Amino acid sequence: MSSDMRYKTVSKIAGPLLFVERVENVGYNEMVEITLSNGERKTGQVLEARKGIAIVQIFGPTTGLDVQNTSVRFTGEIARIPVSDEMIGRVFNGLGEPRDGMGSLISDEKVEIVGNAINPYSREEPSEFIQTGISTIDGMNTLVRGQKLPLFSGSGLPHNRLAAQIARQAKVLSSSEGFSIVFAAMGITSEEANFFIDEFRSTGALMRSVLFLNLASDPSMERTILPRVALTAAEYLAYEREMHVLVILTDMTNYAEALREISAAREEVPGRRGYPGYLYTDLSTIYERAGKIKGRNGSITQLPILSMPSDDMTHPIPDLTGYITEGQIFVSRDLHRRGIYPPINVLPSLSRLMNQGIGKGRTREDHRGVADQLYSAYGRGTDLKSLSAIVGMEALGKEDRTYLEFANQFEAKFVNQSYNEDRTIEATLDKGWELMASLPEMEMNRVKRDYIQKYGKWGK
Amino acid sequence: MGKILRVAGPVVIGEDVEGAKMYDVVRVGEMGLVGEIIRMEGDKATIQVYEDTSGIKPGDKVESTLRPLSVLLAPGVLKSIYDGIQRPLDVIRAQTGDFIKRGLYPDPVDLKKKWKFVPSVKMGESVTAGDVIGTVQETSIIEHRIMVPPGMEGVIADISEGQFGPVETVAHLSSKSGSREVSMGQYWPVRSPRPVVRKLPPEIPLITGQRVIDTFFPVAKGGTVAVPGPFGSGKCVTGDTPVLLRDGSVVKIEELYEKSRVTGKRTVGIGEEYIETSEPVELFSYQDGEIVESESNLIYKGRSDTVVKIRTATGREVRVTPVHKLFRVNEKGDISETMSSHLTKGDRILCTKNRIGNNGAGSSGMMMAQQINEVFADEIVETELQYGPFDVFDLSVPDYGRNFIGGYGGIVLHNTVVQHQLAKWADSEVVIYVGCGERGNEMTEILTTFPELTDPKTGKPLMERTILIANTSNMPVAAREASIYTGVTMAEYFRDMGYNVALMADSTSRWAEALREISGRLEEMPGEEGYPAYLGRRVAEFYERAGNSVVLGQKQRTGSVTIIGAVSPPGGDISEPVSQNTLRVTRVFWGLDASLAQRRHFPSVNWLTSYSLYSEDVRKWFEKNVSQEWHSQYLRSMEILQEESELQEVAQLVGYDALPENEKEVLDVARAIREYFLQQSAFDDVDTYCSLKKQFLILKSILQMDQLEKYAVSKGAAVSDLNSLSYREKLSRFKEVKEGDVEQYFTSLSKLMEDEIKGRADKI
Repeated sequence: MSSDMRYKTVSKIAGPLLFVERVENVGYNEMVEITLSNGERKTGQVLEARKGIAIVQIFGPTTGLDVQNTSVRFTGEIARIPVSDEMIGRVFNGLGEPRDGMGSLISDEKVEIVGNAINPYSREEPSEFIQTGISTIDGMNTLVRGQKLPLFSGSGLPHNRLAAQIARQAKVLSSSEGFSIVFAAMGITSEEANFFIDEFRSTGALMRSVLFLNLASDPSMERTILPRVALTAAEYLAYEREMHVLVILTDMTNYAEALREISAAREEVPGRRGYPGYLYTDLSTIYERAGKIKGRNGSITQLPILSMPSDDMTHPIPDLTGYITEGQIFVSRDLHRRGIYPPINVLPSLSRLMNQGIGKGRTREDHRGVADQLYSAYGRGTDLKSLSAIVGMEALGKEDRTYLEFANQFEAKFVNQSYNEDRTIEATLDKGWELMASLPEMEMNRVKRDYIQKYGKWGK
Repeated sequence: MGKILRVAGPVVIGEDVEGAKMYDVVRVGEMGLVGEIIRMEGDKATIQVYEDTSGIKPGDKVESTLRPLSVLLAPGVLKSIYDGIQRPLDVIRAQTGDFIKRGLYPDPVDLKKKWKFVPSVKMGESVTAGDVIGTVQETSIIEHRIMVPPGMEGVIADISEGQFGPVETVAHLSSKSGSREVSMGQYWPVRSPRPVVRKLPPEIPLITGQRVIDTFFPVAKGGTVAVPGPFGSGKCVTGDTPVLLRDGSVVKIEELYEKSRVTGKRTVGIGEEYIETSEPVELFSYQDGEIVESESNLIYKGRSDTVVKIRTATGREVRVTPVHKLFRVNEKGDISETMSSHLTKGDRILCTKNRIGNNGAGSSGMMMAQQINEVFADEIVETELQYGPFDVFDLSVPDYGRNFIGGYGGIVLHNTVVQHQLAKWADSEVVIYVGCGERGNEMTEILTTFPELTDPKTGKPLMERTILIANTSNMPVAAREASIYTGVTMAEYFRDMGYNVALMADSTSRWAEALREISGRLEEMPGEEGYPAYLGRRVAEFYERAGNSVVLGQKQRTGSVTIIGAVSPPGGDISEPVSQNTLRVTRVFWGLDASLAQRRHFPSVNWLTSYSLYSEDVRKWFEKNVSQEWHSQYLRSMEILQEESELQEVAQLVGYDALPENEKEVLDVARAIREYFLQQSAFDDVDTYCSLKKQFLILKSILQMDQLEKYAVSKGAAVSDLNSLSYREKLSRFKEVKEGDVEQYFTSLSKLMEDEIKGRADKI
């Protein structure tokens, strides 16, 4: 029920909030169009609807707004976005409007961005492998269709490069089925945005991606709806178009910050560290949109990225995220300092659904064994590293030194890979075998003998 | 008509709502979203809406239903799967597909369905609230008793047998205030406890047949329990069962066991043992409609008195324990796991198309998953119960659909399943499970495993006496908050019929978080860790709805609601407010311990951290109904276990050998208590349920052994020598003795111990 009625009854502007008086028939969460005295247009959303008053949250700076001449039009629609196959290859802003200058999307189908919860009765347990081409993820913390697996990172770490690489490389092995990527960036810098767009364009990843970008200079308020817009697009592709969709959300910390900003502007009672008390439920309505549904071919897999303030895992954002997601990939500052890319520390990382996605027919028969063996050897190597820092290298036995060296080689050859290197799962596992060859064959007790004979590199 | 004044998220303020009362349910806006009045000020009412409020406008209508948030209690609620406000999830799925849409309120039970009502009172009889006026056979296990609702009484004016819908009137009462109708079902507000005549002291134990619970940490009927975390268990096959290995060879599971014994790490318990293999055993499993490769690194061996032999039309054959599950395929092609003892001739079970092995003997040749990657439903032509005892085996295949391919001719065998011993064995007639705020993928697991469980007492599906309530973290937060009340109200209703009901709430921590969130929305002053100041009161109020009571009605009946609440504190730290408030009001704590589970000590209830404050209350009952010595035996055993934990610390420092013989003797007895008494196999036909008398006699034997060993040690005997005597073996087998033979077994064991230990001591 769109209306041409324009109100010039703004009574108060406070932060990102606009108070409009004497309004009628305004609904909660309704989209709003705001015209400044100089003709500039902005978008907003109704945050609170009272009798006669609407509190509107403006997406964008409030510079230039005044109470006399600003006119406000209520669209009568809650946030919806048009969806179609044409979305693929396009770049949108946080509201789902094109930002690539290629004209607006033509579609009859408009979908509400507030997704409904999947009926628990309809869910299916995730079980298929997604290859990212990154050894530490594919080999050690396998991503499975329908899973939500966050990257825990920190400021100054190359998680965006990693994200772009995953977006470029990700594929399902039985590639007969459609695969696409929905990339949702919240509050990233224009340099980063250009990097992403150029990357996606030059590598052809754009051909199967939908990008939603919100820059650091863009309205922070848009960030609160961007993930929902992106997931609505993803749901369309997954459940209507039967594609396997990988949704990369970066950076969830910016999302939570924006949420806090609004919460503060609305003068809500703050919870932990000033974040609103409903942060857990709010995050769950984003993360729980990952999954698979019985009887439908598509799936939504999520890879949220969040930078932990001062690398603190007990911070509310990673803490609450961990309750909802199925594991985490840990980006390590220590490895980054040593120049290793991607600096993923496999030891604290975990994929709770890994076992369901690996093995013969999915990846390779020796996968579980190799991963276990590498974990155990690398774990031992890193323990020895800290020990050697205390007692010195000389005090270590010969065997211990082998393991220490193994840990170094593991980081240099297995963890480390170039930005352009797309390793197949076979290459990853073979790399694992190569590294294991530096260790005594007799101690490989996590892998089956037959596999040692079949894949082992000892004496070759 | 009421109008909306203000909308902000799930909180809506309405004006002039006719008949508005606190906690009444209102319908908001054109879509009729459901909300609850939570604050009133002048003519304004603050409403908490259970669904997303996008698009709701000031000026939209608000209508009060004039009734607080209520559930419909009527025939048809059993076997249902609901969300937190009693919306049937299966119906929602059928109506709107895989996503839960807004403004959708299907009837909690099928109102069109007719049930056969059999009156149990006659015209002219005078009845009061709570009186049963008739019955409906709701499921094959539970008889639904139709009662006069609280607050109603009179003389039956008319009543007749017949087919009635869940909300149809079945009788009329005439009373001073006129004629009243009694319907099949009744609505009840979830936040008000249903009235009872009086609560009885918690003196009768809820018998679970689990030794560690009944003897050590009993819960009274109507009691409250706090548990951290989940349960775990296993099921087996006989030793000659062939297993198809990845290299294509077929090996008998027993051979596999013997082979692994050489290289693997073996742990021996009494009557059971297991081996952690040095390298994984490679198998095939059935998962999601296909055969996949899998592996196992744990082989288990135990004993069973009976096994079921199953032969199929194509000659495939397997012998498994009666509780072991096979994959049964019904007419529609749906696959369900069914205990072998419930399979009958004509049932169809899942088998691999390519036959494996030649009658189980070791045929060989490389075998690929593709080759056997087809399964079909084979018809059972013969089932036979065989009496043993047999050695039984199991391969633990945790990650791959929990089964492996084996059996003569290739049948998909099921092993480890989640244990719901409590739901199965406790002498409560109705089970209600509330899943509150968990991950969607986790809830899926519960929703798929629960309907597979079988009720051991009747052999019928456990769902016949179960209600499931599922509200995942992304479903509306207010409904999550309401879910435990919805559950407990249904529990009270069945209690009023005279049943004993067990309610499991998992997890109350997520429920408390919902409370915190709503409190924040209402801008209430936060208390500890942001939880509202009334958290403790609300937790206490919830658990207070448990109880063993004399229920309403002229004929005195009793019924009980036992609440078992799971807490899942962040990082396992139980010093946080939810755990602390829970522990303060619950009277039993079963400290489930993951390290015990890893050591395969089942049930993994840690005897040092657990407690039950009902021990004293139910003591009289036990002393009267089992034995005068019941309580003193328990005290003595706890003392020994406590002593053990102290001695173990010493032993770690100085070494076991350095301990004096009398201390070694204490450790020896403690081990006997742990292994012969506390450990209990859920998958052994006999051991899965242990009567109180048997529990008592086993413990009595162990304590008698203690006496005798003490005597022998004082005479100079060595504990290691005593251990080699034959009484030890006999004692260890006590738990496998059938209920009918326990007394005789006890007497002969007692004499054997006396003879052997005394004999050894007197020789010195």
